[in-house]
This record gives sequence, structure tokens and C-alpha cells, in this order.
Amino acid sequence: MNELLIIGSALMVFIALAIVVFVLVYQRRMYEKHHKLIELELADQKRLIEAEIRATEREQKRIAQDLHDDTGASLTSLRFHIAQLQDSPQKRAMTKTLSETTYKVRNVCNELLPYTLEELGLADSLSYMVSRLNDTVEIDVNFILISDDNSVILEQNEELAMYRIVQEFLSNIVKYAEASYIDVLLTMKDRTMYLEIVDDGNGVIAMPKNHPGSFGLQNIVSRLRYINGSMVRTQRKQRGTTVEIRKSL
Amino acid sequence: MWKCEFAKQLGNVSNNLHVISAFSIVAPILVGAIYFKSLSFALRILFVYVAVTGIFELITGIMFAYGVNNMVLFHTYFYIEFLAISAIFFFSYDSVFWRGIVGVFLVSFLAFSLIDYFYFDAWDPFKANERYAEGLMVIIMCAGYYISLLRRPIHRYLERQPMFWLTSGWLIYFAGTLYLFLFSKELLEMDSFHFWQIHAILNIGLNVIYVVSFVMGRRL
Repeated sequence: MNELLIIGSALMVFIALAIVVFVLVYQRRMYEKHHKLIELELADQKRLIEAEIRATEREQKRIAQDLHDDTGASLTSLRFHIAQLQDSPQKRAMTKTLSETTYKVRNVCNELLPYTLEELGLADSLSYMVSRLNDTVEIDVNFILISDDNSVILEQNEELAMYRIVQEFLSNIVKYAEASYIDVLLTMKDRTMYLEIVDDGNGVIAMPKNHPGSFGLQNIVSRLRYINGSMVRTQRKQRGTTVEIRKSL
Repeated sequence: MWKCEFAKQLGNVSNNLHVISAFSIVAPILVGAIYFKSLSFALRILFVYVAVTGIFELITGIMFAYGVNNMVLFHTYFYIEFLAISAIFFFSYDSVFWRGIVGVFLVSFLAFSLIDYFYFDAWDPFKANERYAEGLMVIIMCAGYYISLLRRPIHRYLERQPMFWLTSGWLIYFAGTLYLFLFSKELLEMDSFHFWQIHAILNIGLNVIYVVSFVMGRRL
């Protein structure tokens, strides 16, 4: 009876242990399989986003080039013809309007295809973007380069994505946030790029889903995903929002 | 010579296994008390249950030393144990179905106890039927937890989940003792030494698992 007791109990314990091990192994395998599926889905999503962004950039480039080559050439020709007219108040008015139009077309071209990015790099392009924005809006926009580590070099498409993100944020703040100032702070150190956008507005973070500005936010998120960047948005109690974007190399 | 001494020591350990088993409850009480503030609600229930077990062990031990029949306390403890385990499972299940099963088991266990008390108590002072029913119900509740784990991926590292440790501990303990309680009446009539030895080993193992559960369940 004693042997039977020991064998019986040992057998039951063994069966219980086998069940425990089985559940442990099964759950681990199931989790890993599920995780792989999620990774594949994310990779697919990333590929789609990448294709969409590339197509958009290509289209913007085409429009910018058309504007530059056709409209720009027409404006130059018009300037030449106006120059040939005799001096009069009409001529001065036409020249002024033409200068303004040329400036606006150049602005649109630069927004569509930031030529400065290739020539000057991200920091100077952002500085240029901010200075142009200061000319057109009544908000005090500042660009501050905190530290510039030469080892932080982004790829061209990554720089363009960062540029577009800042562009989108500034556009949203100007349109909806009712801010009186915007600070854009860029820090490049320890193989990481930190970008901070601070404003004293009512917070683009609170934008409803069907608001036209929310599309811009989706665009920002897509571009961040595309470059494997991360973003933290903090809304202050009184007024103002801080957006911190981080991109590690 | 030393082989003889070792065998003698081993024999002593074997003889005192039930004492070690009774004292092993101190470990989870201490660890549970240390981490109490950082434990989840289910693990706090476990701590209360473990503390009550410690008190019962102490009182029954004293009663046994003075030759007083401690069976009443022993039987009361069964109800507390089943209630605590049911409550822990109830608060750990995601599924409404399994929560319902816990409720059904609680009512069934009470009904079974009453029937057992009125009809079979006379010939079964050890209340092996109740113990057996309790074991079966706890094993089914463990199965409920495992079924939820087999249905969908929840945790990558299951071994870091206190509920997994607890469920595994109860499954092993109750599976091991199920066989014992099935023949408890006959065993106690013959020679209860091996009965208590096997129970003591399983009890020590369960207390170790309680310690692991508290350690794994603390929120850092």
C-alpha cells in the first residue's frame, strides 16, 4: 500500500509538472509567433508609408520644378517687358506686384521642394524656414541650435522627413494654436538628434480627430515611423505645448 | 562511520518532515509582509490566507502537543483555504465564464459539505470527501487559467507571472494530494506516517512557490 501511495502521488505530481511545462512552452511559442506576425505587419505598414511619402515627395518636386521652370520663366519675361516701359506710377505698381508674386512663388517652390536642405543641411534649412515664417506671420518664431555634433549625420530622406515634420508642426501652430511665440530648438549630440518645438498656444494636441489639422498630425506620425523616430507631446496646464522629437542614428 | 551518521541525519530529517513543513509557512509570511504594499489585490488575498495558515499551524501544533483533538480547526481551515483560492482565481480570471464557474464551485462546495456533514461525517472524521472535492475543484480552476493561456498569447515570459507560479503550485499540490485523499481513510487506519510525509513534501513545495509568487508579484 505504501509503495502504491508513493508511486501514485509521484505519478500525479509528474503529470501536473508536465502540464505546467507544456503550458509554459506553448505560451512562449504562441507569443513569439504572434510577435513575428506583428513585426511583419509593421514592416508592411512601413513599406506602404515609405512608398506614399516617396510618391508625395516626387509629386511635390514635379510641381515645384514646373512652377520654377514655367511660372518662374514667365515672371522673368514679364519683369523684362515691364522694365522696357516708361517710368510711371502704373509701372511702379506693376513692378511691386511682380516682386511680391515672385517672392510668393519662390516661397511655394521652397515649401514644396526645400532646395536649401541639400545645400545647407537641416539646421540651416530650419533656420531659413523660421526666418521666412517670421516675415509672413505675426508670431515671434525663433530657431535655436543648442549643440551641433558633426557626427550626427542623417540620410537625405531622414533630413527631409525631419524638415517636413517641423514644417507641419509650425503650420499647425500658426493656423490653430493662437500662439504668440514658437521656439524651435535643435540639439545634436551622442549620435542622437533632439528637436523641441515649444509654443504658448492652446495646444495642437487637443485637436479633434475630424479636424482638418489632424491629417497633418497623422502625416507627422507616418513620417516619424518612416525614420524610426519618437515623439513626446506635453501640454502645459495654463497654455502651451512642448513637442520633443528624437531620432537616434 | 560518516555514512552511518549521514543516514541517521537523513532519517531524522525524514522523521521531522512534518515539523519542517509546518515551519515552512514562516517564509511566505515574511516575504509577503515585506512586499505587501507592492502586491496586487489577488496577492494580498494570498498573503492574508498564508498568514491565517500560519496562525492555524501554530494553534493546531499547540493543541497536538497537549493532546487536544484539533480536527475542528483542521476542517475550518479547509473552508478558508477553498475560499481564498476561489477569491484569487475570481480576481485573476479575465473570462466571465470562469468567474461564474468559481461562484458555482463555491456554492457546490458548501452544499457538498452540508451533505457530507449530515450523511457521511459519522464514518469519515477526516472529511476526505470534502478534501477530495476541494482538490478536484481547484484543479479545474487551474485548468481554467491554463486554458486562457493556451487560447491567446498574453505573456512572453510566463515564468515571471506570479499567477502562473501560484496556479502551477496549486496544480502540483492538489494533484499530488488528490491521490492521497482518495485513499486517506484506509491509509490513516493502517499507517499514517507515509501519508503525512508525502503531504509534508508537497506542502513545503507549495510554500516555496508562495515565496516565489510574492517575489515575482512585487511591483518595482
